[in-house]
Amino acid sequence: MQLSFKSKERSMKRKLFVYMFFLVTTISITLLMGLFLFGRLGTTEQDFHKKLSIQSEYSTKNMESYWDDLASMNIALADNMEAILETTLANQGLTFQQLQDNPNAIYSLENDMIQPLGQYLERSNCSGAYVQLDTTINSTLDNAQTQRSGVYLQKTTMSYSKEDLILYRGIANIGKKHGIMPHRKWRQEFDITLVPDYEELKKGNFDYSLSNIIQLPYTGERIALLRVPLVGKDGTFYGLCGFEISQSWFKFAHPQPSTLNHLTCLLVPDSDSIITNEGFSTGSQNGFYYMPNGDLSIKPIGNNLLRIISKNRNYIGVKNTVKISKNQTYSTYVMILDSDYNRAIVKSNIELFFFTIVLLLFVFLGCSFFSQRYLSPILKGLEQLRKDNKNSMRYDVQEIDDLLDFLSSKDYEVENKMLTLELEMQENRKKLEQIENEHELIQREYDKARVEVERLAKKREADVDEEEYKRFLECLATLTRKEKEILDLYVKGYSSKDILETLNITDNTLKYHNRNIYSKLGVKSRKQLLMYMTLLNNKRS
Amino acid sequence: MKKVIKYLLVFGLGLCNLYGCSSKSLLDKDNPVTLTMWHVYGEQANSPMNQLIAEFNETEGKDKGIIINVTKITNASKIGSELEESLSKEPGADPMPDLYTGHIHNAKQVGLDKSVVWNDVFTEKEISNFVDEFLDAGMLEDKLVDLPLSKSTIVLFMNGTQFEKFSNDTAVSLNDFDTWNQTFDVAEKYYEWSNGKPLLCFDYLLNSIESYAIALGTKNMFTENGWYNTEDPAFKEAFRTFLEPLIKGHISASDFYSSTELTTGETLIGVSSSAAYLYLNDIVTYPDNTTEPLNAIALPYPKADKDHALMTQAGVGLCAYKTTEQKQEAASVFAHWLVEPKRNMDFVIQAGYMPVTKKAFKNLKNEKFEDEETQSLYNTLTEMKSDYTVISREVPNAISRKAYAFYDQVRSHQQEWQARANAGEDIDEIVDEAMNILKSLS
Repeated sequence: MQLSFKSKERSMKRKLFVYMFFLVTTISITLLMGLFLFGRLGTTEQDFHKKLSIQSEYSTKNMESYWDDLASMNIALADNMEAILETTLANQGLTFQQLQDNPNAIYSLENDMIQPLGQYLERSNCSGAYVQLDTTINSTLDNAQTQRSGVYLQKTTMSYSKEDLILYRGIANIGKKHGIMPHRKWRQEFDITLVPDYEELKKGNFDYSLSNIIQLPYTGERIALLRVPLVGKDGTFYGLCGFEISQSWFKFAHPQPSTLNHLTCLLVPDSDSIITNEGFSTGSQNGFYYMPNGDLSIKPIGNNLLRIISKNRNYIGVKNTVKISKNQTYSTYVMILDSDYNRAIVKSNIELFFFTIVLLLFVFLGCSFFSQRYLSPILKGLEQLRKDNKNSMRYDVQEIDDLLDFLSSKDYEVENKMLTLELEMQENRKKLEQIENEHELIQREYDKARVEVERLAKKREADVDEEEYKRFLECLATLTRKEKEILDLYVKGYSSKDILETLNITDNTLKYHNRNIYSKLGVKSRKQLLMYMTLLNNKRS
Repeated sequence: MKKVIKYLLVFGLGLCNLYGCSSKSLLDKDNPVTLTMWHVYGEQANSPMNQLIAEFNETEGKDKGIIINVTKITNASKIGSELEESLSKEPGADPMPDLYTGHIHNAKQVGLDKSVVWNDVFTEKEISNFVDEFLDAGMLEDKLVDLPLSKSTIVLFMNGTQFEKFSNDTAVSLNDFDTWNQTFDVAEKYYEWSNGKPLLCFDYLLNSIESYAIALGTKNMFTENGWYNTEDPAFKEAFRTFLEPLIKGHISASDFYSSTELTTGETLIGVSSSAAYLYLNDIVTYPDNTTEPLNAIALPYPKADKDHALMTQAGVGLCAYKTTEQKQEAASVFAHWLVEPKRNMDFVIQAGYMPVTKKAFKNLKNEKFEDEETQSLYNTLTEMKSDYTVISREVPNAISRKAYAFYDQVRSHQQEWQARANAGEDIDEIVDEAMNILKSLS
């Protein structure tokens, strides 16, 4: 008989493959879920929140330290300017009030101030420095109420190493004398209409404060001024001095080292909404950022992220706060474009999809390969079994070798049994032949006896009385069931004793039945009875 | 099994293709390429170039995936040295920008091999739309590397308010500035009228001397190193013509830009690039803090004589530093957008330049301007474009530095020279002294 393993082989392989595939997939999913639950893996949203939060922390600390340093420098500048002012006034024997309408004294004062002011500016991380005096060269002019003398210097380049200074406000000739050219939109004096809180500042009861952001007239620059009051020992308000921080400088001074695309960072007064014109912006150190315009609204979107909505584009970001002075708290918003955020999520999902496909493909191929490898010794073994060569095979797989040993031992037992059976069969075959010979002899004896019986029967027929035998045949039907039973037993050769035991009857009963049988059948002896019965049987057969 | 793998591979490749494995353009709207740019339009003022770039970033750039990031606004005289520093990677120097506005000598210092050749990205027909002489100024070894954006020439910017008073008192009219001799006569009158103020303040005094010498028929004005040949008779004559009124205090050399002397009331007229228009202040402020509106009037550059109307031509073009193919494509998109005739026209008008396309020039005559000052400037530019002969010379950085050194010397000596002249010293001797200073710089 040819064994066929093909269908079984496929079935085992498929089963093994399915189990392995299920196992690996389950382990992978469990692993991923575990990593996810323990925070080792996060969603793209969480990842963004983490990055933005780190960036926000950096940015906030950076700005706090920036404003602290600048304020310290500003206070030192104010001390210096107050000293110069008081020394110059003392040298000229003037009071501060006598500076008004005194061009020569103001010239002298600005001349003394311009160089140290320039030095402070060069040492400071800002775009400009100024000292504004609460006086004017010409109080007879119509706009004299809004005009104030002073010196206002700006840097022309965004650099710490080689500043070129220009004179934005101040006496032009003083600037030229010190190699500082007037700004192209130069004015001689300050216009205090650009400082709406000037009257409040004149009280001089503050350490320092940051002005609102204003558009510098005739330029494309937006600036804020850090302000420290100049107050004499007698409490006279001399004016203000401080530093200018332009939008360009703010961007230059606060580059955001980040890998996030188009990262935008805003510094705005703390409020429920964002008015971009009231704040500064900066962005990625090596890239470009999209400056939002106009008023922005803020909406939480979960994962501690905010959606910041403007007219032309939306952002996703996080908020933090920066304390700039005692009474001024600003907010920082570190944000990225909504479109970049959404694209990153889509990209992440596509990557996850591809990763899953590749993983499944890998698992599929792996399971297929390993199930094939795992079953190959069995398949080879089965092939060898088919070739009946199992004794010569050895594999380094214990179970298979044991199986082959087991099969070999079973084969040996079967062979032995077959041999025993073969011998038994031969013996039985001999016995059968002997029995058949005996049977043949017996048959021959039987035939011989039968011939003799027939011969004797024919001889007896001649001795039988026809009338009596006829009566015998007719009266057989009159016998009772018991009498027929006893008659049959006599015909079979039973003795009276055998019949008594067989039918479990008494001797008298038997005798009674014997008498009835004899009388009904008209026979006188058992010999006659048996002879009539023999004749009857011969005729029937 | 093989079939399953085959189908998976086909599915994967299909998805990969959908995901954008292949694209004709190198630009990607979703991943914009950023080009850094340095330009010279609007330092210390509201930059019209920045406004244009903001518009580009919000429109064409947004659609195509390009961001122009302005990382420096400087001026034409500084950009050369800044490029040099970046090219030589000096400590603290900024990285080279992808785009910059500069003169052809700036492109030359960068090198043809590192510059985008605009002939490669503009068709011949597109290039033929530019004014021919502007194209010539942007060629390096017959390759267009300095794409014309805006061109300027030297004009006179006058304090209109003050001139009206001067004119009322002296009967001097705007027609009295036709030639240099007429102008210097007016300068003498103004000096007396104003109690010693110069009528003219020159930004580039040597350029005026140079064009005057050309009108006189100079044959050998420059030495081998590009500096002036002080032995050339025409140049000597031209030098004397300008130095004499300077020694007398009738004219002056500006500290940096004559727009400053205009706004401080130190002079009546600034002789400067038409591009100074962007930087002109709206008022003049005097030392006693009184002010008056500038009411600037632009006048054509005076001629050497009636037969020699010469105008200089200057102005930076757009150059692109060659880096990647993608950036080159982005630069091409931006350049095409920037020089569209209508846009170019709007831009140059804000900045006080001449347009660079033939069509824009043609439309200039019919253009309506918002104010009289702009109308005055473009009337002047149109007149000069039509009546003057253009001269241009490539001025390398080294020569510019020498010229500025000469102006420094002139300014430092001027008061002394004036005093000596007033004391009766022979002016020719002082002129020779000035010539020696010039010669010493060679």
